Amino acid sequence: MKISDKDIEYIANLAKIDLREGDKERLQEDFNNIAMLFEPIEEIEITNDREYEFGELRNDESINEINTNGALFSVPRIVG
Amino acid sequence: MTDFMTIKNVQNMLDRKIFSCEEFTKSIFENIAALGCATGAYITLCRDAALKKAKQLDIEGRKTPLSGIPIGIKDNICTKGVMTTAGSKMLKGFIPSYDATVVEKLKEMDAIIVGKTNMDEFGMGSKGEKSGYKLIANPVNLAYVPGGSSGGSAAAVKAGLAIASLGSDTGGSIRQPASFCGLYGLKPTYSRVSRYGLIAFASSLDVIGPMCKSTEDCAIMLNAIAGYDEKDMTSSRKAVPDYTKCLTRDIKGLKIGVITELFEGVEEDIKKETENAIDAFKRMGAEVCECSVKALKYALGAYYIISSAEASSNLSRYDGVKFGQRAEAESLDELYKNSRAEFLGEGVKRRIMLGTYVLSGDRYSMYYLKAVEAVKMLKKEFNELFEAYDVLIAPTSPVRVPQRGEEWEVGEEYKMDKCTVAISLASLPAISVPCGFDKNDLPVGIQIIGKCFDEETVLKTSYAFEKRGETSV
Repeated sequence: MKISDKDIEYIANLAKIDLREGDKERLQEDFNNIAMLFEPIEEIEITNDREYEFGELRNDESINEINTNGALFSVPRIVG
Repeated sequence: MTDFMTIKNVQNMLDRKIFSCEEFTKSIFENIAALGCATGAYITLCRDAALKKAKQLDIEGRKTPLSGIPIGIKDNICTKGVMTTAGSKMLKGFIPSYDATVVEKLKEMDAIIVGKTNMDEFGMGSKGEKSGYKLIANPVNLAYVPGGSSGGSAAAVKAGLAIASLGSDTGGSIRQPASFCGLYGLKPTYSRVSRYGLIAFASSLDVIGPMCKSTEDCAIMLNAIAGYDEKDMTSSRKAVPDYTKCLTRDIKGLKIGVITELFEGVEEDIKKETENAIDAFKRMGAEVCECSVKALKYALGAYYIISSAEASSNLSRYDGVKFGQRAEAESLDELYKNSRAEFLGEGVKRRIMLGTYVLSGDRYSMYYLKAVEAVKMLKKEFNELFEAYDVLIAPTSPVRVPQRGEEWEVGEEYKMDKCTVAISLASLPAISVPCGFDKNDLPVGIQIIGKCFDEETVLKTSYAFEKRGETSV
């Protein structure tokens, strides 16, 4: 992925962060540097999107036990 | 003050009245007066409360294994009435009205809270150079970094400014500074220890754990802090064993898997020390074999996608209105943006923006969902390995301890976490154990990894390694 200065402006606005002098150029360089770490991930194929839809809230405490490995968390998508 | 001052040895000396709790606590604060500035280990000290508690214990007598033991608490763990900043200027002046569950438990055991240890801002850093307050130095050699993000917790214990400390680990933040400072640092299984009162970085990965001078100390500390907590819905209801009971030197027949992928790109002197440690395990009678985790190639990317995504959500509350310092502004939107720009550090802003990026538009399915899939693959492979092996081992850090002030590209710094992040993603328990020294005479650590909730085997293996060559009494 290649991240442009427009992307940086757009994300900063979504994240409610005011970019100061020199921030945009530096962040663009950093992001393109970090993006290389994501490259292997791109080859993964998601076969079942429905699996990631939000489920019902759990109210049975006994179910908690099997889900105490971090799987409980689902980060909401930021619509943009 | 030396590495001899373990919890166990201090307990012994307090019981034999070689010194009183008050005298010992005073000596810790004298050490802080002498070395506190040079190491930058603490942000806030609790001198008056600590000395008052020590005096009270001298009158009432010691009742628990942690009575009178001076302990440092990482500054992202809430302490009632004591400033808690998570190393960020954003939270300067924040005084929690409650104790985190782990702090409550330590207080119930009459531990003495020395103060709040310095850290990389909000736990985001691998070197210990991203505190919003002051730099932290490695007590082994002050020209080097202590590691991060629990750098202050490591420095405090190593320099004798606490006997043990609590750190938190999201992608290696206990294990890596423990390795850099020559300590034992245990990341328990996710959910083994309550996160209530821990200032969140990435909620699906954050774990609180001990940093100590011995395996036995880690076991004593884990006994104190582990267990179900109704205030943390993710904490496990599994019974907590007595972790000190599993500490034996006999690991004959223990099946150890060496994760080959985590040796790729590791600096030669670190690789050599780790291989020496593997030979020591063989001499102790363990069955050591090489093993492979194919999904490890996804781990670093998956970690930075998931942790940044969760951070962008968790840190959205620091906007100058809901939480945190407030900047000058003429409109509400400007107030949010100015407050976050002024009071959050560069590294934190970068991760918030990275998290926002991977969650926005098509990037959600392009990156975030794929990272979640990678975690599933990692968990599956680790589970299969634990059918054949009791523990797995790998280096803790692929690089030797960096000097302070070295400029690194962001991507390179993120790669420092290569050996630790997969274990966090898979929720596994792991301890970093000192195993030698790099070519600059700075400590090197080896990581012992167990299956979920099997801290006992992890501690047992660590203990056997620590005591290798010593004769039983």
